[in-house]
Amino acid sequence: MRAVREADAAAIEHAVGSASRVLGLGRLSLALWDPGLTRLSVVAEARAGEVRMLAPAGPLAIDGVGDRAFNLRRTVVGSERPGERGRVAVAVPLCDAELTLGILELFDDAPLAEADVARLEALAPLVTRVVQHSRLVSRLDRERAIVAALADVRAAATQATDPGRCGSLICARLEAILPGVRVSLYVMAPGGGQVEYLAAGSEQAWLAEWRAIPLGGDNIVTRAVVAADFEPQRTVGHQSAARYGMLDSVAVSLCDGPHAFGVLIASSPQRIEPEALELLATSARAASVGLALALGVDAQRRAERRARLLATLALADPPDGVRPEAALAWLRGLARSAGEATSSRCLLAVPGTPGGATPLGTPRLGERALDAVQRARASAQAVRDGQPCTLLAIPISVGSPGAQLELGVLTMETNSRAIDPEDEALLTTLVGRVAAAVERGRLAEARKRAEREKDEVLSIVAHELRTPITSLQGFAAASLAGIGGASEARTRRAFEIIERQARRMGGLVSDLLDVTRIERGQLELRRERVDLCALSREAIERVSATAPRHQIELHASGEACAHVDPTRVEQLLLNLIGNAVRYSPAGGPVAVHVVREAAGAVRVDVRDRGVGVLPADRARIFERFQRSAGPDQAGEPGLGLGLYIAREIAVRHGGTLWLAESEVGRGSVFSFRLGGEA
Amino acid sequence: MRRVLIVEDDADISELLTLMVVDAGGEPLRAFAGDEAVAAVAAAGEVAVAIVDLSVPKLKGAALVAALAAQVTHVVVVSAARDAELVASAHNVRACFTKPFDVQALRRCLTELLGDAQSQRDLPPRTA
Repeated sequence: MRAVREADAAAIEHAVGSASRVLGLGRLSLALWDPGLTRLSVVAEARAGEVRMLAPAGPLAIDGVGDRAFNLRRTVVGSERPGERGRVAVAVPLCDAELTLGILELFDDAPLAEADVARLEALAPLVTRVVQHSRLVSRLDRERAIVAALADVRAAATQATDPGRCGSLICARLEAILPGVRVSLYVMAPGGGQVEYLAAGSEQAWLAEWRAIPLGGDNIVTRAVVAADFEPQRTVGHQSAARYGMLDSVAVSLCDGPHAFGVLIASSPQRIEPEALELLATSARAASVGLALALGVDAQRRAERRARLLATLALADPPDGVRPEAALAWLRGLARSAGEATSSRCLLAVPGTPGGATPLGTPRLGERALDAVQRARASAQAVRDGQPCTLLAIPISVGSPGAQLELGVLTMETNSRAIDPEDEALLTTLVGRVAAAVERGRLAEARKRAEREKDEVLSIVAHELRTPITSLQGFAAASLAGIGGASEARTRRAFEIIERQARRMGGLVSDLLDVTRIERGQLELRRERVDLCALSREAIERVSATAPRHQIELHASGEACAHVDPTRVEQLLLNLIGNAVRYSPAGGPVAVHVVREAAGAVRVDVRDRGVGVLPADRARIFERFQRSAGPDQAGEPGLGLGLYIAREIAVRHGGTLWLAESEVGRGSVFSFRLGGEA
Repeated sequence: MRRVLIVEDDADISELLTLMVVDAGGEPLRAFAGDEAVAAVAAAGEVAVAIVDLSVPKLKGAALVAALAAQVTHVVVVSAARDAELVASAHNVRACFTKPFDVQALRRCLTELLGDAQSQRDLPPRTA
């Protein structure tokens, strides 16, 4: 604090000027003791009534006679003074009952008469009174200002229910009455361990770096929080403060009862004087009341908003059978509400579509920050618009582990260094509800799909069974009614057809049972050493018996043995050769090649010159209940299970089955490979 | 005119229907695909009845029924297709039998239609 305030300068100037005129001698100098700076500073000089007011000089500008007069509290006359050789100096202390306020010095080239010294001593009490008066006025002014400031602080603290606004008002008031002092407020972060920035009177470079101050160790902030007693904790000349041009730093706890909930920090490029410290302590006490209230109200409001959001959520379930896209849209609305409830930015991030914007909006977050937290729930420090912030990301995934569907990430971004556990709990609940809704939707969809598939399968099965039943029932009824005569040949023919159609029905039923076994993983194999050449020959003979128009050839030499289930592999061969016949309605050659491959594997190719498989059908034909949809398809359509069962048999043997070649109108080659080490 | 066209791709059912046509006093003509059926009618000239399965190769379903209805006196549908009755009612088909069909009922129907066709012999041909 300056030795002479602006308001007091006029009185002092007048006093020194009058004294100089009265004395009419040399140069008169007034130095005052500045309790804040703990030194003597020359504040005014006068010669022949002309006064020059001085700014406070460097440390202890007064020495020699002046210093002695000050310390001895009596007049000292000297003949010398460093740098003033040959001049006379007289120093008279300005004393009140207890303190020496300063000194009045007279410098002249000639020795002074005793009477002049006496006149100077007589003037000293008058000047002392002027100084005392000015100090008193100054003190009264300041105290009035402090009282007003405290009233302001109290008013600000109790009127503003938003903690940030309340804090800003308090800091601004304090900075207004403490020139040069920067005031900021920090409150305890959720979970403790650090205090984080709440408000400041004016923006300072260091605030950007110190958004949060960790507690622990020997520093004024920790000491203030631990003490929790409104006692200013002070550090002078601390390195980290010096980096920002601050000499003196003071921390005062903000307490609600016996516990500190925050800290008031004041910094100044000069020493903060005791009066200012007192003011800061009193202010912290006053500010605590209002701030605690505002913080409490704020916490309560947030709790209410959270409760309201949860209540809304409980009442408004997402529609059942919600698709992931619909669930995300629903969640986006919730994210907005969650942001309002938690006073943060809540955003929904969904995986981007290549070459286009995400349909639900992309959060404007640093990609890296998002990446860091996308895989698992985590919080991370990030920077947005140059300001540090904390990011929490909760992945939204549904399904069981290993078969998860990643819907996106719900992110929450706050200016705090930590995420409020209550907010995190709220977001987790939101995500859980959405995931559950989507899961319900997916299950419902899967159920519907299964129902549809079941209906379709039943319809295919019923349709396929009708054909043999028509023959069975028709020939039996016709025989009974004597249609076509009752000759032995006619009756025999009817029975042949009945037997064949009954076998066909049996085959359909076997296929259906095989599908059930495959799907339950119950297709058992009884493996033995089997010659695939011999097995192929038998299969060809069986098919040839029912396909007189087709020439089926076997191309094989010697033996080609594999460790397989002969019944199942014969079924596989019958399926492939049967298909070759069925899909070459015009007749024509069918060739079966048995090839011994490396490592003991055997490959069998079944080649026909039939209708071929349309390119669009080449993958589909291996699925259950799927049949080639060629427009010229002839023969019996069947259940569409043959290739599915055939491939499953190959796969169960550790082998493969594939469509090796196909050309529409020219025929196909289906191949399978069994045995071998692979 | 007692010709009866049988359009059926299942050989056994075709054989059964042939027996029934002969039994009812008709002259059976067999076709295993839609295009064959249309060609058979064109070659035969007058056909009294066409017994049609809707799910045969090439020309099939409603298109097959429409093509035949313009050329023969009566069309009878014998099919396992789910929409058989719908197709039948849309094309003024005389009767529709769902597989597996009642042999006696089809026999009665054939007898009746062959008698009817005989009596309509001198009338102008029906249009679809």
